[in-house]
Amino acid sequence: MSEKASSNKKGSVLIIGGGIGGMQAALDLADSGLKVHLVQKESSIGGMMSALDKTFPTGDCAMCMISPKMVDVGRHLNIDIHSCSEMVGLKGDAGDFTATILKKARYVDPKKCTGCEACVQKCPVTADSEFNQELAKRTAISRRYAQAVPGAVAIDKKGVSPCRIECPAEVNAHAYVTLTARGRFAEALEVVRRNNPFPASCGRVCAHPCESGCRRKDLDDPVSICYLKRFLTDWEDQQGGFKKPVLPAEKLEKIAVIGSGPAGMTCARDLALKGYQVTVFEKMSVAGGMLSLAIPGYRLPKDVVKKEIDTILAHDIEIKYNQALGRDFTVEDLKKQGYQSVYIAVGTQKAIRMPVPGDKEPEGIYDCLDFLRKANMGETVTVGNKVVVIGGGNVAVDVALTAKRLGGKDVKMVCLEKCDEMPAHEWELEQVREEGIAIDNSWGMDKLRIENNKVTGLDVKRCVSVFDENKRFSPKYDECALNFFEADTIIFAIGMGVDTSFKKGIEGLDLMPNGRIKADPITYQTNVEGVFAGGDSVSGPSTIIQAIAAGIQAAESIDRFLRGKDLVVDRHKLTEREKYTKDLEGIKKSPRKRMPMLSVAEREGNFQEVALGFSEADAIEEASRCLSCAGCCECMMCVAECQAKAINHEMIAEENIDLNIGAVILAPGLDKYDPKVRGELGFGRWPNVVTSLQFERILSASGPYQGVVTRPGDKKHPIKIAWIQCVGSRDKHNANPWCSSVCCMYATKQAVIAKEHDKRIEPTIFYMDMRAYGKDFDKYVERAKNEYGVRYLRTMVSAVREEPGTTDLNLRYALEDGSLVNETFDLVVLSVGLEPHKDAAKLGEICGIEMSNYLFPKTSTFEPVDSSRPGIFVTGTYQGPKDIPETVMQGSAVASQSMALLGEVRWTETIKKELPPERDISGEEPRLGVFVCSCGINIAGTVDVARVVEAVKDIPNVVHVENTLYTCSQDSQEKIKQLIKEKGINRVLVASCTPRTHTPLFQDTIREAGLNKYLFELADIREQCSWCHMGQREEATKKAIWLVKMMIAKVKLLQPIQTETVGVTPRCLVIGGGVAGMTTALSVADQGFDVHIVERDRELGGLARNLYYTLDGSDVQAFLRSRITQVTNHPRISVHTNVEVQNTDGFVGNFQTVLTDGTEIDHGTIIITTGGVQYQPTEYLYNESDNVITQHELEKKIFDGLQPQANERYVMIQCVGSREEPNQYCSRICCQDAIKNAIEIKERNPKAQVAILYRDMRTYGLREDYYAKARDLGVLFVRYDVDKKPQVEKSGNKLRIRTWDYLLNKELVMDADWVVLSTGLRPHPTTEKVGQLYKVTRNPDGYFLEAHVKLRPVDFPSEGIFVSGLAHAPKNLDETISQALAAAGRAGVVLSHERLAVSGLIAKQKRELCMSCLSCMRICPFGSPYIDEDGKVSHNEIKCHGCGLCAGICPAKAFQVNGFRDDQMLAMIDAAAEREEDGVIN
Amino acid sequence: MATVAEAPAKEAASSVEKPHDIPEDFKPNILALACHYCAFAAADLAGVMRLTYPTGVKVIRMPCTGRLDHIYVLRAFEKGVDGVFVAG
Repeated sequence: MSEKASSNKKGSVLIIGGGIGGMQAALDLADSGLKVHLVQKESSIGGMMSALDKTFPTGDCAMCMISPKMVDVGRHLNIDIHSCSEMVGLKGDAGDFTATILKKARYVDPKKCTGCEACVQKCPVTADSEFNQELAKRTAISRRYAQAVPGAVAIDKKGVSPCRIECPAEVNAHAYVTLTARGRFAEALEVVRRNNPFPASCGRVCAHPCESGCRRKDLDDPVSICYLKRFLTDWEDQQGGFKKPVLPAEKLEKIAVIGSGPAGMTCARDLALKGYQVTVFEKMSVAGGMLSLAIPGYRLPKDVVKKEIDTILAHDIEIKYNQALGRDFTVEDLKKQGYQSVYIAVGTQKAIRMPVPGDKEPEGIYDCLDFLRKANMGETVTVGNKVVVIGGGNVAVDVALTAKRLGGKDVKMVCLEKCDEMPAHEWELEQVREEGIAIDNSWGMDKLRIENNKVTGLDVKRCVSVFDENKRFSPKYDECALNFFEADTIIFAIGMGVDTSFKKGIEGLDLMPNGRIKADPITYQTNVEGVFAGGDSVSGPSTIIQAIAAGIQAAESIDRFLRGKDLVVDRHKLTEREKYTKDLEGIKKSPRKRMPMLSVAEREGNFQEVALGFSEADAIEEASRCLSCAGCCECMMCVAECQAKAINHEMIAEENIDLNIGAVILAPGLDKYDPKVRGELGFGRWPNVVTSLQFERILSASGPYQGVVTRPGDKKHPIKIAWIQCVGSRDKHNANPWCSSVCCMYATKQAVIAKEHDKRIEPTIFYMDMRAYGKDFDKYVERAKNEYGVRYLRTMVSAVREEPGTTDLNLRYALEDGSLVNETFDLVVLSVGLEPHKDAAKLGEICGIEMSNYLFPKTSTFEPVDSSRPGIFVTGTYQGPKDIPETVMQGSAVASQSMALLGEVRWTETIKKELPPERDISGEEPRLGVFVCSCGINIAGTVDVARVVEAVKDIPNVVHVENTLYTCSQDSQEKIKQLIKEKGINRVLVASCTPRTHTPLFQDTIREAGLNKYLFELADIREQCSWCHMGQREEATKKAIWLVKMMIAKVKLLQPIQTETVGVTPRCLVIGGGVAGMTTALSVADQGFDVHIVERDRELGGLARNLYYTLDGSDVQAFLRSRITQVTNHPRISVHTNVEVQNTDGFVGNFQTVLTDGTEIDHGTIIITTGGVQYQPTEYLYNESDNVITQHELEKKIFDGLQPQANERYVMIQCVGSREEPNQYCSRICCQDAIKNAIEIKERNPKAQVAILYRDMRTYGLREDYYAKARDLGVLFVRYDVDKKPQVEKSGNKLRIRTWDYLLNKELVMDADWVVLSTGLRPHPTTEKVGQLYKVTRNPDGYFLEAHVKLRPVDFPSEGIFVSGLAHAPKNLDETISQALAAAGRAGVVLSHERLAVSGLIAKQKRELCMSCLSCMRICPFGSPYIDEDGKVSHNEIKCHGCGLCAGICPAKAFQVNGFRDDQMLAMIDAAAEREEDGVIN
Repeated sequence: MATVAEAPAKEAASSVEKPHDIPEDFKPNILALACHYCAFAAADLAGVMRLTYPTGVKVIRMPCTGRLDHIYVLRAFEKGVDGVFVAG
């Protein structure tokens, strides 16, 4: 506050994890003047709680509770959420740390994203929804769940899919396959054409490296990517063909492209798309290069190529046929004609062949190019009966198959390579074999035999190897192994080279020795300025897709060249990005769709296309085999859809930022156990075995089945549901040895809620011990049993099997008497335990804190939230397994610890908005500004927004109406501000989305324009109109008009509301001086506030004075002594012993208390820690035998040095005075006390005998270890039931105990030297009095009732009063300390303010109307109405929460709620009743 | 008070309007008075999940259903609203 920081401490705190614990800490800290950085790994906060349906034991909706908290965190001025981020480094010391945060790209700007989800509708990629536990799908661009904070969507982008990375032209196979799978063919084809103007050709003859990359090949077969392209063009043809694209209006320079093959045409098209004027010069009379000339029609029909060329030429590209460079024109000529750049892509037009003896060309000899060109152009080619094709590549295959079609009877391929070395693709060779063409491998040509100028055959010699050790072409022959092939036709298909005749047309162009053009491998620039080259004439014979790739790059270079840009910089290649390899586990095999083909007979003698094409259904089915490897496919459909321009796929994937902070809070939470480890339970194998978290989603109204209890396997409604407990817990062989603490209760809750959803459901819970140890938990379990009929079976299930022929499940288990039972259930829920997530250890390492063997941070009983490194605090389930309220408590506890560390630097890093003075609108007529939002298409897509504007524009007092695209966008906000000033608007209505999230934003906007923020309202025409009435444009528009009119009626009546503030006395009163009281007092005092402790005893210490050691062996008395010394020596703490509170007056921030000794204290907060007492037993001969003692008496004996004798018998009886009426609750501490003392006895003398008679051993959490240890030490555990309690009787000088043993199924009789009673806890007798004093309620057991059992575990409904320790409920010492710290943290939030603001939305009392009937006093839950000094009812507005109960009940209408006044509500009702047409009932 | 209580039931009933026949295409105008924290939030969620209901249902937000005054319900019926739904 006013104290200025003199140290180096930083007034900010880093919190890792935005679950409920992290959020609680963030809100407490930010509200108390410390800046908070909240780091969240996922794209939104909320943690595990946000995925839950309901919570135990109240059955409240988890989302309803957590959502407002998330909104508070999301819009807090002093909480920065770093989503998609992790901490990767931490340096420094307590008070001054530097943390390095790795931020991953969201690919969406959260400031621009309005959360409209228009992009989500467009995204074709689906993946299992992590949030819905894989029971539903989500899109690649998505919001984790509807209520997520931040609300901006995020893109799941894992890298680049392998299919894409393999394609040299970077054609986005992932995207077009995905779009095809969704039936979105036009968009798919658009994606193909971005990088490939030859989809029809490539869809037939591409070498498809994409398929070689396809991840699916590692599972079964690659997706038939190539043929899908062809399907798309077939489909386009059916739809009427290609439509001419819109080209840039402004035309750029002229460019000449020489050669109309794939490289040239691609380059030409890309340049044309950029606006260049392109002319293509082609030597031949047809365009297409090898596509037209070399590839036979049965593979690639010529009309297909022609159509493709025409499509490209439709980009305003001119083509000149029969124009050869060097023959008909030169580059110099082109320059003269105004061409600014030239691209040479003349290809390889010269076939290599063997020299023929003699000068005359003998008959029957062809080269492949000549042969194929002639065949393709329809010229006459004579083929004899015996044809030998020399060569083993794809061209040789084409030649052989063509020769066959031209009448070759006996066609043979002869090649150098061995069968498996042949360069031809396997699928090409397949066709060769299919059509009966022989292949003779490993022969090298020796010489041709010519007779009468006619070829008669070929002499060959054995080729022993083709390649040398460097894999270079270097054939070696066995000159002795000779052969002869008779032939009347011989066709050479052994390679092609560049026909360099073009060289004459360009002076000084550098060529390579083999005749290829020398060009830069990246830019394709030649040595001649402005001349670029590519395709086969640069690379040598290659594939079409390589040529296309070269064309793309050349176009890029030419554009850069002409625009004067650097040719190399920022030429991003896909291969520079990380390839993502998808995990194939759990993916089912599905066969590849086979392309229908002409039969071999049908192919004979003709050039009909062999491949027949996919049908629409085939294409969709085949495309659906795609695994969507890398998440987002980058089809960019979302970018086009986002009208807010928030999506940016180019964001830097990862970056590091440094944060300077004073303290670190670790709240990353836990992971859940993977039940697949326990294969016998069938998870992952049987579809109707689900995890408990999946069942939460099944129950959730916003889950995959919208809250209808449905089993995933067949979507039937299950009747018999089994829960199997301890899956992953209490099991050191397969899982974690400790207890997960929450499963017994959540299973009970799930059973109850399932039953509430569907009465027919019959739930059964299989368990070991029912650990209902928390406040009111036992009552809940009893209710589940008795009222809901939940069946509890104390046995473990040995195996789950699916009933053959059904998807029902057979469970095998043993009853307590040992008999085996098989029972069938419809659904099995595995109550999976919690466990540290895989990053837990890494996080510990980064922070330099010690971890336990179980990978929890090391903490101690007395310092439960402190890590081993000062300034780093741990909380929630990261600290140990626990439920929601304990997590929330620890959230406030770590906040308190941080405040104690950084108290003096509060308010040093926080920000406060400077605002202009408010305009006085009194006396002004209402002047309404109405903004009707389109929300992109979210509203406008359903509601006719123009009609809404029209319908309300003439309403009196409305001075401005307009339609805005996104009203919440920055520019719209500025416009609103400007219009307020220009038009003198004094009330603003926005018709858009829900007021629950957007009201504060607009309130801030109008406040910045000088209007009181309560002069604003929102009409919800999105969530409550356009979204729920989609497809009903007329009706939805009418409703929207109605809603806006209703709201206008209200807005006219809005009045400015002035909020007041009250001062705060920075002092705290703590009632009770036990461990809770002292701990809370110390923490508050360390934060820098004065504290008064009031203790009715003569000394401090409370119940802990009777404790000597803890389960983990810590010395309680030593701790207590040191704590008492700390308290009594603390300069800010005053201790008042031997007194009680006489009375307290006042309200939050301003309490006045008088003690029984007359001391008067002014203070701002109260913390009640009145503690509990030990139950004094009357049962089991306690008062009749000296050898019947309580656990505490035994503990004292042990502490005093008890030495147990060999064979001395101790029998402990649990639940004495607990878990039965009238004390139907678990005292939580007794099981551990028994274990603790039993272990101590056994360790002192292993021969002493200890038996524990128990109902359920409730050694929850990490305490389970000690239970196991006690068993290992030989402590005997015998279970009893409450209706068959043990009998204790005297037997001589011993005691005799009779109890029923359920395992042996008979009565057990034991003699004992000592009977030790584990007695429960009771609230302190003063609790009742204190409760009355502060008007705070207690539960039926007498413990104080907190404001909310889940999210406000230390607050009371009355502000400024807090509770902790045994006064709240029975708990252990570490839990008491956590809660005491939490209360200190909550108190710190109040005390750190000089003044507290009173909410504007509160009830206002017109005192002159009040008749003091006291109705309001009776009904107000917050105690704000009170009897004033005049004896009449007055209203304390500081306590008011604005619920309006008083206004509803007041017969005199003396109370009105701001913003919800009667006149406003009635105006809305009246407007709602006005109908456009008369009602149908007259 | 006694006279009212003793009035013959038949007579009392006769003073009440006869129920109307409901035409087939009847689209009722229904007002939902909803608590800001739960029912109004649920109405929003219905939209988020694209669940549909008749367009005649219009939600009025209240700070808590405790704020409900019986006058609101009576006023709505008096003005011809066909149904009132209080949710909280």
